[in-house]
Amino acid sequence: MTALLELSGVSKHFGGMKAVDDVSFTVRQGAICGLIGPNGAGKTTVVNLISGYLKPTAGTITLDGTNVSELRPHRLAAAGVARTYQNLQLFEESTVLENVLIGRHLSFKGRRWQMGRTRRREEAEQHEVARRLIDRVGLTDVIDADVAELSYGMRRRVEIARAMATEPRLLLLDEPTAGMNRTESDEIGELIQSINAEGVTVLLVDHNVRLVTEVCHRVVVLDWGRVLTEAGPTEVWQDERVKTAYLGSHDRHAVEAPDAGR
Amino acid sequence: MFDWLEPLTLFRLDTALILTLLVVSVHVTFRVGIMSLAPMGFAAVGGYTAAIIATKTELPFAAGLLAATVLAGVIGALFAPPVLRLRGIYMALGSLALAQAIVVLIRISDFTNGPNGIAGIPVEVKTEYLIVALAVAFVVLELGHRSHFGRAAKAVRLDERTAEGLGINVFRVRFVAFTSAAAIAGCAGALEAHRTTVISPDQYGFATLVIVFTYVLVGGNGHWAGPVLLTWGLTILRDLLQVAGSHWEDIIYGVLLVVVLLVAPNGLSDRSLYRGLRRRLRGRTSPTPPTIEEPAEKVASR
Amino acid sequence: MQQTINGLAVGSTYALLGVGVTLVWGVLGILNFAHAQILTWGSFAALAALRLGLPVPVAILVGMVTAGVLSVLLDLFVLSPLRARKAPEFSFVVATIGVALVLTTVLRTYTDAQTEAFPRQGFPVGAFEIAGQNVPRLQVVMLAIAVVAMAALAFWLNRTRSGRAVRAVAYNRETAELLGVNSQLVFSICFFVAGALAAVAGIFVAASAAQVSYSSGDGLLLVAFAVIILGGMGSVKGAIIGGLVLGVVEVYATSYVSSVFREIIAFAIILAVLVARPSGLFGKKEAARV
Repeated sequence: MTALLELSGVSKHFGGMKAVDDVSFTVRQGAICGLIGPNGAGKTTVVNLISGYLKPTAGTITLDGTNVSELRPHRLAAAGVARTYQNLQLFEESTVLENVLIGRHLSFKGRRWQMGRTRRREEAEQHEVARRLIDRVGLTDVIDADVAELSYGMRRRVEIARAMATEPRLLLLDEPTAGMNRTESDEIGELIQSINAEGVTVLLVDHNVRLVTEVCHRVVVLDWGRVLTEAGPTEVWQDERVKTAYLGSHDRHAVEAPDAGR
Repeated sequence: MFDWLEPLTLFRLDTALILTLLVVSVHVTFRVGIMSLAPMGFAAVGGYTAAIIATKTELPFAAGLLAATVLAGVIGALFAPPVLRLRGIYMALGSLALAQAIVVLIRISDFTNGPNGIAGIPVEVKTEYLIVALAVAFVVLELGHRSHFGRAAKAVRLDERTAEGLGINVFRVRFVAFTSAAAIAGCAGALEAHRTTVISPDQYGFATLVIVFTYVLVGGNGHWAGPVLLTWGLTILRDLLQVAGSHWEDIIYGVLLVVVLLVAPNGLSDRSLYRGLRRRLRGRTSPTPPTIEEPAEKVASR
Repeated sequence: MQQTINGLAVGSTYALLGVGVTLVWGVLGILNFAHAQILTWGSFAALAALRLGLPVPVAILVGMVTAGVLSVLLDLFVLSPLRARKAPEFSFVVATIGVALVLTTVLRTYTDAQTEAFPRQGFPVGAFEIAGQNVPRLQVVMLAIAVVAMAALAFWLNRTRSGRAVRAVAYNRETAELLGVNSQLVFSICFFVAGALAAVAGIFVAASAAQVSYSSGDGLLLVAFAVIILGGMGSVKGAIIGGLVLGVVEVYATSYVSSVFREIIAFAIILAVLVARPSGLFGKKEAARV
């Protein structure tokens, strides 16, 4: 088993507060790994640490054998890490195509002062790549629409297309189905699986239990900044500690392992 | 080539062209989201460098111009790292402090003739040169605008952190913008020195800054043609009204700036301005924009 | 000793400026680039009052009210509409710069760019003898009045109901409004106080120099900003201490180095603090840097 991503003893302290405390886990290459936990458990902090927006107070983050703990976000993007954001951070005043094209920034080889045919050809190629990505997430009809006019679900898909435009090896999804209904989240689930089928490793943070159980190969559970457990998607729900973390100690029997419908 | 024009008109034309260069400089920084109040400081560097070289050495005009541009750029590059790390109001203050420090240093230094300024700078600048210089600037701007660099600049302006997550080296983008804007402002300062033949520390204060900012803000961040065309249009208007040089001009610009900000806080090229306008023209009553929804069946069939 | 008192007197002027600016910043989050011009208008109003034969304290009051009212008008007609439109931060800066330009130009036109003499009659003249050295009375009185003003401000902010309302709005505007505070009124009060305090500083500077012109305030704008950056933006205590420190440093530096460097010191401080510790001495560690 090749590990693509490895967190080893990673901690992040903000003054006296330990947002992330001695977290270690591995994500196998080609897997879809779920990262779950109650609100405030530190999931987004972990994602921020992996994507370079925060530097760990302690511990190391390794990507394919290379220590990337100190790298800034743009270097991590170049190394193949892409992400979406819990709060959806699309570029406003821009169309769907423009948003996705910015994702292609890294793959532009031509120098800026190159004129004429070479540049025009490269522009055309990149436009084509962007178009295919937009088709993939089902937004062909709105490719030239300003993102402000799109529905919430479509905006989330734009963000995924934009992240995919960087041709990542590791895709970090921070609550991509927040606020979605069942049909929409099922679609996202299918999208994630098809992305994974192409060889992209995925770290999925989400509260949607159905989605996580259906789609993930492994699940890491965080609580109070620490790793509670790591297990397969069905076993993880049978763990008493996980139930307690989500529901408190009184209603332990209320959660049953969700019928994954497999 | 332009001898058929009256000397005064020619002078005003040249001044307008040089002002356009300054507008380009500020526009470049605004395009990447840098809110810097420093341009007049760099113009001062450029103006004084060219003036000193012209009056105290035997070097040709081209050398002075080059030195002015390069020195302004170098100073910009030197102060870019600390200034660019600041955000919002701190950046505005830091850049203002830098510009004012430059002007004050000029004012108190004997080398630059102190508050009296430098006079007797030879007139070397012909209108043709200015037009060529601007044309070059426009070509470069347009190339940049249409390239991935232009897209990256817009991304950096809109949302730095997200842009960085997509692989854009935000610091380098801003550094290049800040430094080249400094160089351009220095060049404009040098050209102005050689056109007006007299410079003094007082001309690099708020007054010109406000005018340039008016043009850039009103012209918008979308395309460089906005501020440039606006500069030309308003300069012509100003000449037609023949209030150039009077007190009222400054007051009008100050008021205009405030009014524009009230009407369009994000500049006139802000799309949301026009969306609101379009909606009202179509007579819609609902305040929310129509969202585009895909029918469910279409999606399920993918 | 004389230098120190001199430095403190100058510093107290700076502190008055800084306190006003930091008050507006702490509560509204904006820097008023028209502050210096407004105080110059206040000085001219006091000058007019003095020429009418009004006694000095009344003239000072006139100056304070003029500057205070101007500040409030700026907020009501320019800044408040911008707030309503959720304008980006930079718009406020540029708007105040535009207003500063208008105020400067009007004043310059009105005074024909001439420097006017500022009468010193009625102001404390002569010198006290303290510890065997001559200390100008004017400086001491300035210092005393500034101290009283700042103490009054501190008392108002900490012990009165309206002062608490101001602090509440500074902390979180929405919550304060939910609790029934009229935030627009709070803003207006803050602007008035800032303008009034600055006018006091401006009048004393004019009295010290025995002259005033449309550009008297220009140098003071950056001094005010230097003070609040040094003291920490949003901290009244910081502005007071920052102002005093800046004044003393300036006086000592110019006496030991050269007087021409006086203007540089403010900028040097701004740049140095922004690079090393943007939050200043007492400011909150907000995201001043990336």
